[in-house]
Amino acid sequence: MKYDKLTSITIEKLHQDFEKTGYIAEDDIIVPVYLALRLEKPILITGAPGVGKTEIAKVLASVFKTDLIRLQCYEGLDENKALYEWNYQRQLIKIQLIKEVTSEEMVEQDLFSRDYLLERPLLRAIQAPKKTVLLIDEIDKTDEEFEAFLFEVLSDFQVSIPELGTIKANFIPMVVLTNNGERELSDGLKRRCVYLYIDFPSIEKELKIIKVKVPEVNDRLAEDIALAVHYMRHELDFKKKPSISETLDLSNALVLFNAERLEPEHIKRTINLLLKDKEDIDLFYKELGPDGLIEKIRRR
Amino acid sequence: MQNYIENSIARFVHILRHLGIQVSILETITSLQALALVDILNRHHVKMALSATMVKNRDQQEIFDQAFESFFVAPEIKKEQEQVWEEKQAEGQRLLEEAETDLAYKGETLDLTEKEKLYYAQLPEEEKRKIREYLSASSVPDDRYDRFKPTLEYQVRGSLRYWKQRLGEAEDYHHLGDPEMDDPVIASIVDELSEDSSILYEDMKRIGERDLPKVTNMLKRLSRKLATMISRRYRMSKKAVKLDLRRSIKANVRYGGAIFKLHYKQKRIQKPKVLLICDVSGSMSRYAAFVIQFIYGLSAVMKNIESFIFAEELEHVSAFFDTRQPFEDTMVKLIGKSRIWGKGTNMGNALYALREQYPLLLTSNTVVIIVSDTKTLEIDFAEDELIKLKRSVKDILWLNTLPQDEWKNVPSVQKFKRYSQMYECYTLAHLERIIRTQFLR
Ligand SMILES: Nc1ncnc2c1ncn2[C@@H]1O[C@H](COP(=O)(O)OP(=O)(O)O)[C@@H](O)[C@H]1O
Ligand SMILES: [Mg+2]
Repeated sequence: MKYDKLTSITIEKLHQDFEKTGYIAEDDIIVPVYLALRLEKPILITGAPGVGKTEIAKVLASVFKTDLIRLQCYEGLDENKALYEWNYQRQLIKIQLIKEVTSEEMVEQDLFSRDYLLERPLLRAIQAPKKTVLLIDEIDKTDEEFEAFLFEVLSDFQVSIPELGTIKANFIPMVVLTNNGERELSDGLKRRCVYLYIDFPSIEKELKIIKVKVPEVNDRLAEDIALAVHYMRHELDFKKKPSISETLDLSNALVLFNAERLEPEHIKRTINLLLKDKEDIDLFYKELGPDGLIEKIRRR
Repeated sequence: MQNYIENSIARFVHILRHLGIQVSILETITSLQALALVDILNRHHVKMALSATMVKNRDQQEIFDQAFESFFVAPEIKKEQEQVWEEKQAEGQRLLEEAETDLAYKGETLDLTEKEKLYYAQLPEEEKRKIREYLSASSVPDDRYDRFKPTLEYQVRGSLRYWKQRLGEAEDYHHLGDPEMDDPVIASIVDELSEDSSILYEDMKRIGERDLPKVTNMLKRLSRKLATMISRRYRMSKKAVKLDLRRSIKANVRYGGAIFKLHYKQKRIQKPKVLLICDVSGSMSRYAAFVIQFIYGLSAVMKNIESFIFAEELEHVSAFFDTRQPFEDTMVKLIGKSRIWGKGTNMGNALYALREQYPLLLTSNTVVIIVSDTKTLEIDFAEDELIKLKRSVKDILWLNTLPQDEWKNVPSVQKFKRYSQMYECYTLAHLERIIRTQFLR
């Protein structure tokens, strides 16, 4: 599908395109994404880890056949790493080379030119020669200060670099922010975005995802997996509930085992794919156990 | 058309604001732009468009969903909402008048605040009657003591305060004549949703330590409503009783004049018996706090209530709730002493035991309330027992902690639903809705 302008997008088309890339989504996801694109606003996607937030940015890049520029957030991320930095090593080498032959001003002008600029994701997105997808992943990992800075950038998509002047985006990127909900984001940032919350999938949705992502799994096995994961998520109080990524890991493992149906033995062998936390594994054995789980899903 | 939409959105934003969701002017404008991009006749898309532009986090999402469902409804339903609101206004007015007629001394209304009067009017009938009878018995012709009316006012106030402490807040009529709330639709929705919404809509199994006191209060209030509704709906014939004023006064001197223990020459009111049966098996363990709170709340307001808990077996627990102990103590004692807490479920066993060991509790005047997710061993056995129970009591209300959209896949729900009035109930909001819809019409 070719989109010349974002204004030609429709909800139906977006549906079809998402489906083609193998991302299973109903209106609950498609409509907010559609609105973000049409309103040219960033979309802020909140949800537990592994429910498919990051994937949406990738899907958008693929649907619009454009580049995905990713800013992975972490504690301590600052402007230098997000926007731009001067390449000091190269500058130093250059100084060594030309010290003798040119004046000091000449050197300085030369040294703070684009050649020595290290573009970080935000600047790259602003300067891109076409509309890109800018993914700002796990924004809740940064601090308030960085969030405020980001808010500025997202407000007008221009930055001023003292030595170079103001750089303004020719193409406003499609911005996807993801948030695992580890801390509450600032009101300002939230107000600027279109909001999308992704919950754990329904059994039906998860079944579709398994079939699309791990087609080697047969129908009954896929159903077993979807039921088991659903049961665990909703009936046990895990610190970290298994998510779609875990479901897919389990499915892939079962393909390796040549499994026809989900058996207690499989659960035993794969439990640390499903549950990453030692205490959660203990809880699972205490409250339910592999046999208990299989019994529960078979009884339905 | 555009005007109409803008007007609706403005009113909706107004509602959200009352429910604690601040939507800025800019966001409102964005939401209108978003609406222009979707099919306005597709209700789901409209909802998504508004929520994507107005909601900011998960808590707000739930409130938003409720508000949307209440506000964007067919005109008939809107009419109905308006009617309900007006009825509530009228009801408030009626209660006030009732209180003013009742709380009089020699034809002169006692000097009480509107709040006190409304509180009185919502007391259980029996307590109201005590106060009324006390007042009329006090209106003896030969008192020359002109400070008697203030004394009565003082006593009535004291007794209202006493009940408030025991029973908690009553229904709030605070929008009575509030000019801010002149739009009946807005007012009714705000009124309906504006409790402490976050807790109201929280799944009871997730309610933390910190919120327990709030929940206790709300449950108390809800239980009180439930108790009144049950007795109103299932009440049997009523016979006149006579208050023994002399004995009452003597007995109450000890309590500083507040009327809370009245003596009757004869007592013959047939109130429905309530039998509460709560599932405390493993699958329900996360609802433990809710279940105990619920028993606690109901026991505080109903005298003729018998409480049981069950898992594999049945256990009679009324005794734990008799005394006026703080909730925490009750909980600790109950869990400490009970042998069955957190075990597997055998509903059939429990109901069988009830029939065998407590036959006198099962009468045509008994209303049974079961709190359970229906998950049990030996479904058929349970079903048989349920049928038998159903035959020997007046009614069975089933509060099911399983979300309703899962019911269709659960055979036990399908079966037990046939013999009881089953309601989805895992939040306080559910409980409130049950009470409202089930008993108000
Ligand atoms: N709706 C979906 N359809 C298909 N695959 C999905 C869907 N949601 C999640 N996945 C898969 O689950 C995994 C985790 O998704 P991801 O986007 O990384 O989660 P998050 O960013 O929310 O932590 C990825 O492999 C992704 O492909
Ligand atoms: Mg991610």
